[in-house]
Amino acid sequence: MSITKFVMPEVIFGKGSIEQAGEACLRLGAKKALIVSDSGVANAGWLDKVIKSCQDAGLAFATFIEMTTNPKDREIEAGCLEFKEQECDAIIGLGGGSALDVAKGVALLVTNGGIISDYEGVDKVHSPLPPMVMIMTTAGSGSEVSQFSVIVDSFREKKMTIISKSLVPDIAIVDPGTLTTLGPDLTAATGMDVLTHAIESYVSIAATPLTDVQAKNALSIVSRHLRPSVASRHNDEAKKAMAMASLQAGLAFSNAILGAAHAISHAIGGKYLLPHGEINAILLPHVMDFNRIASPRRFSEIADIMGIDTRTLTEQQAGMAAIHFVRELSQDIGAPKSLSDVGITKEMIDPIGMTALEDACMITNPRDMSLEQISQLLLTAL
Amino acid sequence: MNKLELIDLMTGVKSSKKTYYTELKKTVDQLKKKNMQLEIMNDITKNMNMDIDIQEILRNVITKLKQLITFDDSHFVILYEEEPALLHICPNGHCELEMDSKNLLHPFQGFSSALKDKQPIQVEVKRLPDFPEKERLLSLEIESLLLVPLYGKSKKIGIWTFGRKKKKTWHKDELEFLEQLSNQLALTLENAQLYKEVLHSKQEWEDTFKAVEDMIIVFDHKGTVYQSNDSARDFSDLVPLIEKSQNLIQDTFSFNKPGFQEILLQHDTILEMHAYPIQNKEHQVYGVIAYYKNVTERRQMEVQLLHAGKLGAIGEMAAGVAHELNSPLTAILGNSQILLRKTPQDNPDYMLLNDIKICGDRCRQIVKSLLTFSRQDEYRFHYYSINETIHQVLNLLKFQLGKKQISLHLTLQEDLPFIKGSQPQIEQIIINLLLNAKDALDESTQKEKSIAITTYSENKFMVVQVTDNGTGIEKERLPFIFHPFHTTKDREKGTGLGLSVSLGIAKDHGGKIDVLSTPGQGSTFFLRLPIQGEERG
Repeated sequence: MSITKFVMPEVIFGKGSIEQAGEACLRLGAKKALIVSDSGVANAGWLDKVIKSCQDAGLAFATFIEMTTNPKDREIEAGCLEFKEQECDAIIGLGGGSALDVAKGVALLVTNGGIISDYEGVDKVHSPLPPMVMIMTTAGSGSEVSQFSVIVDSFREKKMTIISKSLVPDIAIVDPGTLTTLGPDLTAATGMDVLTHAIESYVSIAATPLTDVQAKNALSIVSRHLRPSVASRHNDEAKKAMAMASLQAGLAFSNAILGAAHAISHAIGGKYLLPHGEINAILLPHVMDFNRIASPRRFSEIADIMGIDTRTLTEQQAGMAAIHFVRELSQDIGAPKSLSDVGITKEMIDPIGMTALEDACMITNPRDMSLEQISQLLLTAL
Repeated sequence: MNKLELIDLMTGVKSSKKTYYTELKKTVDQLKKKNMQLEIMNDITKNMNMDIDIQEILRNVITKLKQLITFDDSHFVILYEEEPALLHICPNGHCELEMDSKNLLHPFQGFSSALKDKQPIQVEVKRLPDFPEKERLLSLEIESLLLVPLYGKSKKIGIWTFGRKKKKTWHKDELEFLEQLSNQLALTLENAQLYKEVLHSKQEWEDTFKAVEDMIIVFDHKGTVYQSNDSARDFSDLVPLIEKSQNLIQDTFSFNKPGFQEILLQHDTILEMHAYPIQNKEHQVYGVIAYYKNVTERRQMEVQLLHAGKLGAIGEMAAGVAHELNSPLTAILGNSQILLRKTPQDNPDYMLLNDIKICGDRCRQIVKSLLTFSRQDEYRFHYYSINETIHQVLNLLKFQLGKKQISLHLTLQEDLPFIKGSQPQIEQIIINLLLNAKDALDESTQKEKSIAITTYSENKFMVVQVTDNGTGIEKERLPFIFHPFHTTKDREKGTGLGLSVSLGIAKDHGGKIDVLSTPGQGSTFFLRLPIQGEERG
């Protein structure tokens, strides 16, 4: 593709930038914002900070925090109702991927109507969304900058991927300070998600030089800073680095899309409501191994970026080294190694393949994948 | 959708975030368009109820439509006695054709199929068969023609055509709107036609209502005037008339049946009033229509006719009686005279005989009056002087008047011409008038009793005016004084024939007698006789 495009929101980065939330929302012309968050974030005190920033800015607000991990369609409908009842005109999303995806879903429904599954797939949004300010509190989903929203269809037991440029928030606030309240498990899981975003968008068939820069940076940062970040809650440098990695990986995948790891991960997550980051961490080395032959060069480059000395290695060997690096990193930070670790059994694998094939993320995977190949991969990952 | 297309949607240059600004602009544009559509529709609906020129409606619609839809030429082809005729062309001046039976369009296949299928169809002008319009369309470089059928409630009305220079296809939205518009327009055209018919018949009724010379007033349930025709509005005594109508109006409302009454107004105006209830579909009375006929003149004529009839009968009877009485009277008078001559005045019977003779004379006088009244006595007409006649009469009556201390004032115009007629009869009238005046003065309590006699000419009449300052005549009695046998005098004094006979004589002479009277102050009688001759006195 000779002509490329890169879409991103305004980004406010830095420790304490969360206090800009109210002002930022006001600048978008909002009069009353619905703050969408979850109880974990609220308990950590970040919701209060955002509320205070709204009060300071003189912005009216309402809150919606009734949600669970892996955002469900019914939660979005409830949020939408709240938005209308409270007569809000803007959305502030605060939290990890779940909260932000729900925030986007609410914004989508309030102006487009219907139910969320109407918008599953690519470019189905027909009306613009209300102004959105997204504040991420985990270094992972990249949802604060992406054109993605992943929602669980509770009836069909699957994660719907909704992709539309209209879902790109207006302002993203990335405050590394928020990462200091995350526990090591969540830091590890979300960090592995960042790594998956970076690698999948780098090898995506829709990757462009603009996304490559973001993906490479993110990859390089994660390789060096994920371990220290998991190790200590108070390592400011590592937190700042991971926040930047998450942001850049988000920009990369939002514009280059993802691959098989995410397609399969969405299918498993939707069906068994398992943590997204952990599934990605388990699947990533297997998917890399499967994809390796599609672009040995890129995989070799990944090894380079990770800091592996590839001068004496062939492209194949370098690719293998990269996979090995991922496995090691995953092990070091305590991420689960296999699907059976998270409770998946052989019998549970079968229904996953078809759903994964239909996921939009599968489109940009560098190597074509068949149902059998997915099953084979999952068996290996057990 | 294939893989590449999907990737293009996700990452391609055309995948853009939707913004409020562009969406708003789109919405505003759509609203503007909708507004214009509504405005056009509204224009048509608004005009539906007004008696506005159809051409005007069409012109307005097309002018507005041009802002909404691109086209270069538009016609209305209205079915004219089953043949499509060109009713209107727009833009103005594009075509010289007018709705004229000479310029009927020859329908081509497209017209009938659009009408048959009730669907707009698009045709290429080049491929059309030759018809008068084709040449014009080609000269305007119109390439494609859209035919939109016009359908009223039931019948087909015609075709609305739109020409475009470029063979641009018609958008679905445009076609939908044009269909809606044409439906509305067809209804309007149909309604306008119906409305005109209704208006025309309403006008007819109003004209009829107006044309009636008698008064027609429509009352509502409160008895107030709801509507009235010109003659009612122009009637001078309308207010008392409406007042006097109220009872009958209320009765008509209450009993739901037509009613009739006679209404007597000032100046002896007599009106016959017919009242009819007006019912709605549920047979409830919601109004009363009152019809008034002024019968004053008719009544007067009837009275006159009756009078004349009475006179005729009385005349005949009087003549009969007079003739019958003449012979016995002659015997009574002759015999009484013979006996008087033979009887010395100191004879006690002399007074009795003299009474018989006087009464006989009096009877003969009455018989003579009766014969005059019944025209049984003929007089020959000749020229005479009216002033001379008055003097003769006065010679007879001066003594009687003087005895009653009545002063006489004569003002006689000297150069009056001789008039033709029967002098003795005119004498009789004047005597009658003077005797009536004397009688009126007899009963009067005036200190200075006077009678004035004046003669003068007035237009083509000669007037003898007799004025007294006596008792006068009550207003109610005035209409009856000329009736035969009408009298206020004692039985012995008057016959009640005096004025009646006088009027008869005056009429025989082509004249008349008028009277003005004020009770307690006196009366003036005017004897008017026509001046026919040239001989002057």
